[in-house]
Amino acid sequence: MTEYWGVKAEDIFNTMKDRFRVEGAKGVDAVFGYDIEGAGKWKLTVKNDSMEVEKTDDLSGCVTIMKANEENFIGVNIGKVDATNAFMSGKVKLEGDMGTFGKTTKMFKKYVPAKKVMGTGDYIQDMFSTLVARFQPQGASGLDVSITYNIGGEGGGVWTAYIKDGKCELKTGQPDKPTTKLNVNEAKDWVDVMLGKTDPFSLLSAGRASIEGKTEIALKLGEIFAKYAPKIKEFTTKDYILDMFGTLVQRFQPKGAADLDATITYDIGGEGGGKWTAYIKDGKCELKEGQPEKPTTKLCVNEAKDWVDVMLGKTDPFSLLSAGRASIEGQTAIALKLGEIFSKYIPPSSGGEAEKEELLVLKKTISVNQRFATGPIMGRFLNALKEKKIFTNKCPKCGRVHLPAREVCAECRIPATEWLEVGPKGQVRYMEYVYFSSPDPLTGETRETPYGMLNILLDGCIGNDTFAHLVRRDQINLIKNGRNDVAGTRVRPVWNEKRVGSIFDIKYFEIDE
Amino acid sequence: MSNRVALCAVAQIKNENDAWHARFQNMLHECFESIMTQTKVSFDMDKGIRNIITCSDDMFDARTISNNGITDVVGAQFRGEEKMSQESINGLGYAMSCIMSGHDDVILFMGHCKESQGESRRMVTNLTFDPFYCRPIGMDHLNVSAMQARAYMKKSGVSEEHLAKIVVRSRKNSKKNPNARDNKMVDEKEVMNSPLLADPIRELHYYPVTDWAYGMLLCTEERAREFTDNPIWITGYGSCMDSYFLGDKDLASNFSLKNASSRAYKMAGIKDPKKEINLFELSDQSAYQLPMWAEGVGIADEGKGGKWIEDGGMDKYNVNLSGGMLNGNPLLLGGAARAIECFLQLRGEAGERQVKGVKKALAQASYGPAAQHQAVVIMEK
Ligand SMILES: [Zn+2]
Repeated sequence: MTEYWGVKAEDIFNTMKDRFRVEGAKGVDAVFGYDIEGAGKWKLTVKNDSMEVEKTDDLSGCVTIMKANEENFIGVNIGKVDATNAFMSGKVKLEGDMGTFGKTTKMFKKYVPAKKVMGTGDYIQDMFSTLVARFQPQGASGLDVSITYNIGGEGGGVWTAYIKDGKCELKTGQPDKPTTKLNVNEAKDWVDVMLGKTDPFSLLSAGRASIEGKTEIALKLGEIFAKYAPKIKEFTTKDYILDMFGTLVQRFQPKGAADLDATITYDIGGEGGGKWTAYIKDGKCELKEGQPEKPTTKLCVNEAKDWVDVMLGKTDPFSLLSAGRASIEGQTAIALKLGEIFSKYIPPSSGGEAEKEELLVLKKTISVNQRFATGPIMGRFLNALKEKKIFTNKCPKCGRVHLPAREVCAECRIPATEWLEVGPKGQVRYMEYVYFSSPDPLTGETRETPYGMLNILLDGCIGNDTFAHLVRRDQINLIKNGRNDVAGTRVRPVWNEKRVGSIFDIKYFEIDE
Repeated sequence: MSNRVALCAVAQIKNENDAWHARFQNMLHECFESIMTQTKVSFDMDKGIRNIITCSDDMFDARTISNNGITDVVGAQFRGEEKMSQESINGLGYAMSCIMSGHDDVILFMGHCKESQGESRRMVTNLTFDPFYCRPIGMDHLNVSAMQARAYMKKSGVSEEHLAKIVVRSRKNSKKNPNARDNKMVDEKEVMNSPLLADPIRELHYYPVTDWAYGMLLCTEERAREFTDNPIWITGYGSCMDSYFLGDKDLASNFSLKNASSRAYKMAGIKDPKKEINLFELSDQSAYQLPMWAEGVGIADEGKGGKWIEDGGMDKYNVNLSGGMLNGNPLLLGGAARAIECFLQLRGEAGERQVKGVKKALAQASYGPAAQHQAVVIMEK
């Protein structure tokens, strides 16, 4: 099982229960199969307002079977691959009753990948707080045991699960003699085990974990507890409010609050609301819940959701004020300065961008995959890169050495037949600073900005026959352009370890010192 | 200025299902070299080529302004270069107007299309449709052609057996054309059993994915002998655009083709195409189109396409001896392929498929959903 865009195929199936919409499944009584190459098979049983999903090898009895590889399946589910394209090009295939299968699109809320990057500590917390819920009495029948987890390292701790009479209780700490004790040196290793990235036996054999007491209980853990699946949730209004105030002190800008001695109270009503006050003095800021008797300025917002919208830039505060959905008490001038006192709130993931209202939006990405022939000339040029050589062809008439190699000399209109090696070092003729990051069409990846785009006159080339590439990012300020007889900065290519016959077999050029 | 334009030379590569060994630049360059060798034409600013017309498609080439990748291999650096992003047959019409207007006296006309490069030709043709109303429904050239096929076959009594006959004949003819795509010979039963793509169109009823490129040299009547001893004359051209939205027209009416051909006949002084024209090359992207276009250019009677097939109309009028578009030419280039076949037949260079005494020939091509656009060229010896 491989991750694509940080998501695994099983993440999508494991969240189906949470994403199930009863209203979308009305009148559906069918079993659907998913055959995801490289990930496995799942069976989805829908019966009116209930659904079950299970991983299975047996897809018999399914009215429709969807077949796709992991990448396409995940891509379609998270909106990275256009579903229509994938279907039309046969990357996603449906066998059986397509009409009924179509209803599954209404049956689930969209899969939203986890937004917050969870740290080891978060995972450990989440694992133990869900442990009791994951307890499976049938897997623990007849057991009367205590299982201690002794997790070391950052985010670790000691917890004990007491199992008796088909019940499970979790306590921190450990009894004198637990039936079984699992010692894991590093919390991170345990997280990897729980997420299926490492298997526990290799940890044990590497001495990074050990078992005390009854080993057979440890081997049964997979039956006693259901598999841990990290939770995936969208930010609610309450999450946003908590995150906004949780980051307020961090976002405080002493420069913008110079000489300010004020208390600013936020009184946010509605679900997820609350009352917080920022105490600002001597270029410092402190946040407390509640409010003093007479805050310098008090912002009252009737609905927490409105305030979230303001902070995310979806609504402007003045329209809230004029609509009577918010008000300011005390010194208004301070409220107007809030943008200077605190830096802009940035939600944990920019993936949750505000949905703007548009008249008409074409969501379909126009893309038809292509495969290109190289022909003999381009093929020879790209192949040479694999050997760390820049090999190109020269016009027999005018002597021009163009880069990359081309079928003909454009000016003489005859084939450029003579091959020679040039460079790989050369001098910069001109470099451009670019402040936006155009994606690479072959990979879709963007680059860090600013970056420097170069035209290099490779050794052995003349005139305007330059070669285009990138410069090492930390050297963009050191490059001098050449012109006419004035030489530019000398540069050399930095080759990629793995070369496949692409322009990025050269990572970039760097100054040749 | 005379009212006829000379076609001095043609060049082409073999139609292939996947020219994996060549970029489209290589394909074009081969044609370019051939034209240069045949005609000894130069790029001299006074006496040579000052303007090049190219034909290609952005979606198939995967680059905006597809002609930017080929300027060097068609000799266009420091010369005029203008792209026809429509059926290549319109490029002939455009070349004619450049020459007849007196703006240019020599035109190089090059075209390429590598259908195999894209993962799905149907997805490309889906993009020709309106994004708000038609693309969402899933329209592409194939399935809207099927709507036209249904309407036309009913109107003109064309049966499944007729279609099978057309396909079998196309494949047989293509065997005699060394530049035709190598296809398997089939019998009528195989055609009728081939999978349905969009009823009534079956897989074997539809032109296969193909890579191809061509070149042509055109010039004024006065200068023709500088480049060839045996010029062929383009004497008529007509084109017509029908409505974009399919619902606006009677799919079986042939309106745009009748209009385009009558304009071409008028220009070439043709009164009765049945008697005056000896050879016809029709762009049958799908088998049903062959009798339909035969009606449109006036060699089959209106509404009698089925009977025309039965009465041997295809051979009587020397229709698509090249194998036709049905045997495989890429989208956009069907018209150029038809014109090149007419040229070879008129020059007596059509080898095994040569018809004796061809004096006038007609090339037709269509483009767009259910043949929205139609154009016809008349060529003479
Ligand atoms: Zn040259």
